[in-house]
Amino acid sequence: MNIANVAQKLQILGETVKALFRYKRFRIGLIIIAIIVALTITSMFSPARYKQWYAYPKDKPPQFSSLDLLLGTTTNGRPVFWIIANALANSLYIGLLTAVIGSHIGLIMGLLAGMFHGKRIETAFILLIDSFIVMPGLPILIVLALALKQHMTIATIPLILSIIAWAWPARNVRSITLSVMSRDFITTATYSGIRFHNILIHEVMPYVLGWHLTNFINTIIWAIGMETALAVFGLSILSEDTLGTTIYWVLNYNALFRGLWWWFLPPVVFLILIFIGFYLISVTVSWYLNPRLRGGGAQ
Amino acid sequence: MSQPLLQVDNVTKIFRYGFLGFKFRAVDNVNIVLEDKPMIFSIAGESGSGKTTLAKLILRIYKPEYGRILFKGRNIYEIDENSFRKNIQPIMQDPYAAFNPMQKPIRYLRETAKNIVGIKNDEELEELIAKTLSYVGLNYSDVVNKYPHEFSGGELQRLSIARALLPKPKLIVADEPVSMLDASLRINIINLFKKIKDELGVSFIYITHDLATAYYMSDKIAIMFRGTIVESGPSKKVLSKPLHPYTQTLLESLPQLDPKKKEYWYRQRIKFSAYIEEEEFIAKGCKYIHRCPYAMSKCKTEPPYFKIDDVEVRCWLYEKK
Amino acid sequence: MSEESDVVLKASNIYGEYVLSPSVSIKAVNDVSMELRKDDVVGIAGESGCGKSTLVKILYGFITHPLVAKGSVVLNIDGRNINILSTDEDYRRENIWWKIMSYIPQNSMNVLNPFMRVGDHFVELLRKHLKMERDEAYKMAEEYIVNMGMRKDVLKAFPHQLSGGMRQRIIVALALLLKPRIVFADEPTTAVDVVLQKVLLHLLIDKQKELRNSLVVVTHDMGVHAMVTQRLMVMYAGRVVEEAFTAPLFEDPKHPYTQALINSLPRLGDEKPRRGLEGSPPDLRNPPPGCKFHPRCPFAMDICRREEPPLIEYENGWRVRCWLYMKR
Repeated sequence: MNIANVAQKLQILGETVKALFRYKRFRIGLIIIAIIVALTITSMFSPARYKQWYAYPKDKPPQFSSLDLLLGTTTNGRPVFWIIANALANSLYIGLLTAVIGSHIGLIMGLLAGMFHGKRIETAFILLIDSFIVMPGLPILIVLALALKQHMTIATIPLILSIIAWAWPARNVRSITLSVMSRDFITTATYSGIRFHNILIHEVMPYVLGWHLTNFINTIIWAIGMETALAVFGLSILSEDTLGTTIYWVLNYNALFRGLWWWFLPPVVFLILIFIGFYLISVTVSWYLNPRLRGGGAQ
Repeated sequence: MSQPLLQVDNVTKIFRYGFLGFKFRAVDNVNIVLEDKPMIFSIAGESGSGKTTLAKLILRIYKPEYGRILFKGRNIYEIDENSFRKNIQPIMQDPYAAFNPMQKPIRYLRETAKNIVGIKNDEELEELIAKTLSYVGLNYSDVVNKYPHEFSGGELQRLSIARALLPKPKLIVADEPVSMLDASLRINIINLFKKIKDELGVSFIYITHDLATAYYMSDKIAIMFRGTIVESGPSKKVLSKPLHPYTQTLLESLPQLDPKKKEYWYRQRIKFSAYIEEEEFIAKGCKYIHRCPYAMSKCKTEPPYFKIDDVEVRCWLYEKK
Repeated sequence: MSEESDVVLKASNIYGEYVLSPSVSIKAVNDVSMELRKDDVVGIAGESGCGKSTLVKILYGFITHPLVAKGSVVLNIDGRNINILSTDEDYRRENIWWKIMSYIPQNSMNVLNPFMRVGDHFVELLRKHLKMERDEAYKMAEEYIVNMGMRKDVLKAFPHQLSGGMRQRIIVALALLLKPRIVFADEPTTAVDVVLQKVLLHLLIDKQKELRNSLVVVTHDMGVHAMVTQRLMVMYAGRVVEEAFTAPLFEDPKHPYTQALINSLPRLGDEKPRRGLEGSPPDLRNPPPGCKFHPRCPFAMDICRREEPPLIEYENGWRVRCWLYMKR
């Protein structure tokens, strides 16, 4: 691994991104996520008092008089605009951190499970992965959330979510690894004396990385959705703002029936937008990776 | 009498497929002895005969359920990986599949030279590679920076051969090495194999379904059918005076390159199996029983091998009274 | 001597190009003309990249993106003339394909619909083109399959339950079901062992003798051509380089490529050392100037490097494209 190699790999990455840009789906997805990230950045400028209850007049519909009141206020007397900005930031953070931890655990487990095919230890890996897949995710997370309520912070929720998040990526990576390991060039590599770890890195990983990226993005979506689900049950961190906790308070104060549309619409709309944005990116990447769909060009 | 180079001793490989675990013997009690002198040993048969499975058993890709394989008297599973790969090397059927499309093939040559031959010095390494490449008819500078898709099938196959030659192995197991190449290029690779055997003393196990190339280059041949060897012996003899009914059918089915033989070829009718393959695999007794024009009630038990001169045949027709 | 009226298919100046991008196109077929007569068994020989598969697809009318075809393919059926290339795909599907012309593709083992039983494939064809009732069609399919040497219960199976060889035979049976006048078989024996090869070829030849249709066999296997065809067309880099009756062609091939092709093949019973061609077929995106074979030709002359030879009639029924045979 020297400078020339790294430069070459970065160049290939750059070309891939450029190629992806040609697809409308990818551009739309990227634009959506970019807008959301821009909003997230504005959260850094939230006024100190936005967290205080009743700091603003309550139940006020949107007014263009000031930025704070752009999306009105909640029944708690808090500005919806800043709530959403922070909620987006926190939800994205939770999603990203879970993806970083969970999908990489999945990657390693999947690779090992695939490469130990035929050996006795493979059964242990398969048992572990399949058990976690079969376990119902949400109920387990509910139980964990209840048990660990005191220890939950924005930083620890990802850890809890990762316990469940790694299983599907592991399965996915394992199946790719298995199919790569059954190909003729692995025999060539073995008979060239290339060792296990080198086969993993240089022969198998290039095929797995694309799927790993897709898994990563899908985990972001999954994690945000799971946190929202937990929050709706009241099991998230209610003192912090996430898209989920916003919905919790919306339900708690019956905002739907009271017609406070400026409060209940934004979290839902943004949830949908986040899902669509990431989904478009993820689908384009996995479509691009499949040579058959793309028309059989060399990678 | 020195030890045989390779000995396949009563080897059986059982596969199961399908939901209910249908078991069948892909390789059934096969025995092969390869003497310790440079020779080309062909294993011929149709698809499903078990020849590829046998090759993979020798290469330690599959493990036999019964029996053992000995290299120079030692069980191949008791030889350490590096020594094994110094002595036995593979050549694959599909030249494009033999190399990772994302890596340059030169990488595998370098790795082989480094790991198996044991060369540490970079200059020496490149020199050995360049020499071997020119021996197989390739140019070092044409090869070194290209990816597999930039080569033709014939060139890639030569690259495979060059890589296999680097450790100067005693045995090369080639699984249908020319069947995916254009007809006019095949003879060049076949001639190369002969050259390697004559000049470097390397033995080949040449798996094929093409009897014409087997005749052209091999010293001994074994004909496989549904997992068993039905006939084996010196190739010129087996292929010109076939004893087993299956070998006879194979030779009669071969299209001749002489249009004058058209009528003769057309008149030979084959009693082809209307059965689904699996039934042939689990047939009790001689596996060829469903197709054999000479099938007798005796064939319901599997015949042993009978030796006629230096040819071994597995057929009751040759039982000596 | 066969008359003009015997010609069932006349292909004139066929060009076939794969347009990959505005600047890159592969000229797979370059100005090929040929005629097919009734009761004709013609072979098209050549190796990978010579254009024979593309040619046959164009003749059959199976033209999909990015293939672009030019020229005319005129069918002469029951007194009517139809130019295949001027019809649209729906017309071909309704009236021509399976009924008048049949096409057996390469690697056809995987062409069957995995969700339909084998019998349903037959029934679908029969109902669509012969307007039969389901039961009637099924019975006809049963008789037909038995006639082709297979068992009735094959019809009840799904494609994945059968071996590759069995599926191949079914594809051939399907192609011959509606008694088409012209049958194109593209590499029918390539992925297949010698015994199955013979069975498939027999299926095709027997039906050909019975129905007296025209059979076109495309393969690089010269042995198959020798045993099966009456006439043979050799292609290289998208052009016809030699065309003659099979027996004289094997005895004394004229074009250096044909010579190399035939002489490089080992024969059973013959230990004579043989040599093959060096090099590889040209890149059809950037073919060499002059004769496309000259880089590999042992007899290449100066003119071969500059100008491409035309296809001339050497003798009765024998055409060659080579400067060696140009009469001054």
